[in-house]
Formats: sequence, C-alpha cells, structure tokens
Amino acid sequence: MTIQTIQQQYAKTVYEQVLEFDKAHSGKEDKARKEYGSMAHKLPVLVRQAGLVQALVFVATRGKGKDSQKEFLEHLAQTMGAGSFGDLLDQVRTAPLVEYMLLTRQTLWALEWYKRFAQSVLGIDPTEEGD
Amino acid sequence: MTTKSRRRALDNISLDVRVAPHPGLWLDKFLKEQQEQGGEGTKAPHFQEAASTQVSPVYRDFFNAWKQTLQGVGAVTKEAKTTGRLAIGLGGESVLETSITLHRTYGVPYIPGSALKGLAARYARTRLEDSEWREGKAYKILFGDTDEAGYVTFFDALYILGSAANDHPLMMDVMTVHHPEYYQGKSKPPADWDSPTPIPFLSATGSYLIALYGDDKWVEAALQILDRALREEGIGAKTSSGYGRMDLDLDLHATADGPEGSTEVNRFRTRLESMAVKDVAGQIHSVYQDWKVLEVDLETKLQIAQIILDKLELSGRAKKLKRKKKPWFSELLAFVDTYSRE
Amino acid sequence: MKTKLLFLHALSPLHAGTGQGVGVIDLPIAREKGTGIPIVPGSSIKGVLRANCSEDDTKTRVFGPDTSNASDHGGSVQLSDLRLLFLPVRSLAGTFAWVTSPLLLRRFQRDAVLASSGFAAAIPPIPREDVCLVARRDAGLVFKQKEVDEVVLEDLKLTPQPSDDIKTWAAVLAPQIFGGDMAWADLFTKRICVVHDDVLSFLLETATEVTARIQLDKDKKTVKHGALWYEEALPTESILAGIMVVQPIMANEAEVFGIIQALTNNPLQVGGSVTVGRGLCRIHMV
Repeated sequence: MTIQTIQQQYAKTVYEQVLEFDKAHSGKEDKARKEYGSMAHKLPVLVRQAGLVQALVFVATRGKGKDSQKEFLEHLAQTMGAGSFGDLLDQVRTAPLVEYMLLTRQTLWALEWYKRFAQSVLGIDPTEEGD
Repeated sequence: MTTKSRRRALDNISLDVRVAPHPGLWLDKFLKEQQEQGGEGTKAPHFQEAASTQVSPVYRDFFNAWKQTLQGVGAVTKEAKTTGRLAIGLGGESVLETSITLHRTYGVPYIPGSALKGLAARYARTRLEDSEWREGKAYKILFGDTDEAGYVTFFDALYILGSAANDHPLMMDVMTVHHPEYYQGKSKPPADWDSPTPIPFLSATGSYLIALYGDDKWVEAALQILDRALREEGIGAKTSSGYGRMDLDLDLHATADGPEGSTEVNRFRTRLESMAVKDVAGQIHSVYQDWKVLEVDLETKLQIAQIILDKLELSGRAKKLKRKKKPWFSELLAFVDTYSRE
Repeated sequence: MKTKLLFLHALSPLHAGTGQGVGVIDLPIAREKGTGIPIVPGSSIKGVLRANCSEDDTKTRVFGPDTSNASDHGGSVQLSDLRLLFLPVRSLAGTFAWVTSPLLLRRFQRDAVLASSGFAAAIPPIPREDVCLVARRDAGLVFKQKEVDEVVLEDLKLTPQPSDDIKTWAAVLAPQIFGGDMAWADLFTKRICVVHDDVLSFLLETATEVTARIQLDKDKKTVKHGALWYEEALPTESILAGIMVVQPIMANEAEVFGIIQALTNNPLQVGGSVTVGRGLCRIHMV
C-alpha cells in the first residue's frame, strides 16, 4: 500500500472507533471522554519524546482503573493490525530496526487521527485533563 | 509488576560517562523498566545516572562560539547565578513523570528564552506600579502582542561552562507531594502525584548566560525587570518552595558597596520605575532635588544620577531638556561625565 | 550569470514554519514536498539579508524594489530554498552526530555542480539499514559495548563502518561550512555520520526538536484554556545548503557578492519566533 492509502485507511478506522466511543459515552460520562481524549493528545508527543516502546509501556502501566484509556489503547492496537495492545507492545519491543522504524511512523500517523477526532468528535482540547 | 521498556536490541546497553553520552537521550529513551503506578524504584537510579554525566567536551567549543556569536549580533549578556536550584520544564511530557529542559544538541540545562520573556512580561504586568508597564505602550514595545512582535529578543540562557561544582550541573532531587492541587492549573499535573512516595526528579545548578538584544534602553529596562523577577519570583517550577531564584549580575549591583548605598539606589530605582511616562515632566525635578541633597558616597550618588538620566532617556524627556539647556539637567550630565571616568 | 553555494549553520533552534499544522505538531517546520526534507525558503533568507542592508539604493539594486514597485525590475540575486544537509542527532557517545544520507548528499552535489564547486568525492552506498558510515574508526560517536563497535543515535543501534569517501566529504565540507576554524573541522570529522536513506527519513520525522509552548493566563500562573501548543524546530547545529544565483541586472556580480559577503559577516536571525531567540545562524557563501 502507498503511504497515502495507509493513512486513509487509518483515518477511516479511527473515525469509526471514535464515533462509536462517542455514541457509547454520549452526554453522561464526561470522565470517560476526557480520559480517552487526553490520551489521544498526550501519546503522540510522548512517542516523539521517549520513543515508541517507552511511550507504550508508560501508558500501559498507568492505566489502573481507567477503562477508557484502556479502550483507547485497544483501539490503537486494532488500527495497527495487532490482536491486542499487549501484542502490539511485544511486537514493537522486539522488532528489528527496519520494522521498528516503520511501526513508529505508522503509529504516529494513526495517532494524528486520534488527536484530530478527539478534538472534532469528542470536543476534547489539548489542555483538558483526563485525570 | 515491572515491564521492560527499551527496545530489545538496546537491552544490554549501559551508560558510559567516559564517551560523553547525551544525558537527555539517556533520560528520555533508556529507562530499563517501568513499574505500575506508585512504584518509583527504577527511576531514582536512572536520574542518578543522568546526573553523573559531566558537561560534554564538545559543549566547550560551542559555548565559546556562542558567546562570540552573541557579541556579533550586539546582544547584551549578563550572568545569572542560581542561588538554590532550578526546576525548568518539570511538567514536560515524559515517561519519568518529571522532566527537565535540556539542550537538544548539547544536553546541558538551559533556560528557554520564551520562559525568560514570559517571566518578565508577567512581572511587568502584575508587579510594576506604572500603568505604562502594566498594559501600556512600554509593555507592548518590550514584549509585543498578538499583532506585533516585541522589540527585545530574549535568547535562551545557556549553562555557563564551569559554573556548577565539578561542571556537573544536574542534581538528583526528591519531592514529597501530599497535595496534588499544588500543581493545579498547570498544563499537565501527572496523575499519580498524590501518592505519598517521594518523587525523584532532576534539578539544575550553576550560572546561566542571559542574552538580550534590542534597543539599548529597552534592553536595560528588560534587564531591570528580569533582575527583580528572578530574585523575587524565580523561574520554572516549584518557585513556592524556593526553587528558581537567581542573582543577575547587573553592573549596578556589582558596584554598589555597602548595604546603605544600595538601599538608596534601590529606593530611587523603585521610585522612578513606578513613575508613569506622562508624569516624568512634572515629577522628575523633585527627584533631582532629593538627589542633590543626598549625603552618600560618590559611587552611590553616581549610580542614582545615572538612573535618573536613564529614566529621562527612556521617557523621551531627555532630548527636550537638552535642547532647552536646563541647568539641573546639565548638572546631572556633567556629574556623571566627570565621575564615571574615574 | 553566476552561481554560488550558500551554507546555513544554526546556532539556536531554527523554526522556518508553514503556519498552521494539521498533524501531531501544531507548528511544524517547512519541508520539501515529496521527500520531506526540511527547508528554509530562499525568500525568507533573502528577506533577512534585505532587511539587514542599510543603504536604500544598494538594497534596491541588489534585492529588487519594494513590493509596491515590483514591476520596475527584478533583483539581481535569486536564492534557492536551503535544504537540510546535516541533522544533529543525539548520541550515546560524543553527545551528538551530524547525520546525513546518500539522498541528501546527492541533492547537495547537484547544487555544488551548478555552483561549479562540485568535487569528485563519491557517495558510497550504505549496504544495510543498520549500518552507518563514519569518517574514521575512532570517531567520537563510536563506543564499544562488549568489544563490539556501536553507534547509538536516539533509540537506533547501528554498526559503524569507517569510509575514506566520508573522510573526504568531511575534509571538503568543513572549511566551507565553518570557515577556517580548525577546531570545528575536527569536531565535524569526528561526528559526521551517513545513514541509510530510510533511517534518515525516520530521523527527519521523529528526531527534530519539539517544544511545548504555553500561553499563561494574564495574571495567574496558569495555562490559558487551549493555549498549549507544540512547536517544531531544527536543532542547534543543523546545517542546510542551497544556491544563490546572481544576474547582473542592476548591479554587477562582484558588487552583489561583495555585499552579500558583508551582510553575512555577522550572525543573522532567520525564521520564526525570533524574539525568543530562535533562528540565530551563520551563513557562509562559497
């Protein structure tokens, strides 16, 4: 697939996920939306700052009691074609150089869409806190 | 439970301080494992490792070139000495949950120009008496607004070579945060700071090279503001716990000898700084009279005369007085001219 | 018509922006379409040079008239976009590396030929993605882990191979980029590192400098709602190159080069966020 079609594919998948999440949490659970949205805003910068493995391990170990954050990570794994977030993490950690670089770039492309839809669909701004 | 958090290919790499590693890279990407919330076990040694690195030898060449460059553009430079410790960029996005701003290429701590500018602007707005400074023209000239950039450039203040003990500017530090609301209102208070465990972080010491560029009188004004803001409010995070205080080595302070002399200087300075530009014409003469009868040492008297002249210059009043050849104004000029040469 | 090479050496982070971004970063840097190579638009350099030229008559003859009189005549000097040639990347040995790739070197060589300062250094192929070429075996970037030579840039582990071609590149480029400064030439030779094009494009996407900028609420020390943004920049020590073409329209070649030389004697500030110290750089004409 060309870069553009991968990115279009991501856009479509992510949009559907976020829309569904929005529907499931419409109106009532503000906390859930914020959790999901703040992860969408925070993770891409964390990936840039710490590298993909550190960033994914970080969000995996901080998710205690945060179901929506967990849901976000499972969504991301699904978009990246992994069976679960745990699988994605394993894959990224053990990937040789070329695969690791590709996974990083693809994750960043996907995250770009989460960030956009968190803002436009869920209405969560970058400065809003999920905690 | 711990999870390995490096790429497997990097699992066995250990830090070798002899080969000049980039401490920022080590901090960001080489934490061995991460723990569930509340487990801080692996972080402290990781910070300790980064703090054990010395300033990179390549930074030596860069810092010297940097000083020359600043001279080349005509920037005014002053040393700011940390009186305690600095916590710059503490709330930055990081898997360590606390962060510190390090130079991207050289790995040394520094104070971003944007942070200095922000501090000075906020200080001017909230702490200076004069409405010119709070929201008026002077404020706009110095700091700009959304339509127009300011007239003074605040460069990043880089770590001054050799200024920290053994040239190790990074220090291991620990905070115990009982009240998470401490950080409320900041952009991203980490989620689990309400845990009672001590939280490790890195702070910085040493001196930093403040560099401003612009019209002389505006640079001077910005330095005066920065001087007060760095001493009174401090820069970076944890300022309410005493972090971030710095002494700015302005020549005025350096030469003021004895507490009595500097008190007088400060009294005049405060008085003039809080004087609105529109009030200068009406009030400056009484300042001059007070100066005239002041019985202090020559050095102090000279400094105050200079401060008065600076205010006249800054307010645009000096030109007019010069043209009119006002005797008291000429006296001030002559005084400074005569004694500052000695 | 005469062409010369122009080098830009960034001494503080350089943000030549594109305005509003749509991606993860709110204020991204400008990049060449297709390749993603960071650039500084030629117009932006020309604008800075023009603004620093104090004499009105000279200004008009060299750089062309104000936009209001643009139809009168063109300027005598044209600048290409400056393209990134070396990206400084954090390293576990030697603090940082000046990283480039065969693609960037080829693009540069094309410019160098136009400026008739082309030279015969070959661009060696990189055999595998996890190999990088360095100028010498004892390069500052190389360190031993369990008796094996390694170069670790960000979180990429590479196997260094010394290359005489790269040594030649370093020797030829150093004086052009840094003037005659021998200390910098030595630093450069110890830190030059040529990586596979794919590794470079990964680094271009993930290893630029990203800073969080915040706008604080007027009187309180809190972040204004929605006033947090991420700004991208090329780090200090980035090196870019491009060409300058002089057509003797209103001024002859010698005069134009003399004036540009004088204007670039001192450091200049290029790009955005200059009031917080961004974009301080040295420009060398060769």
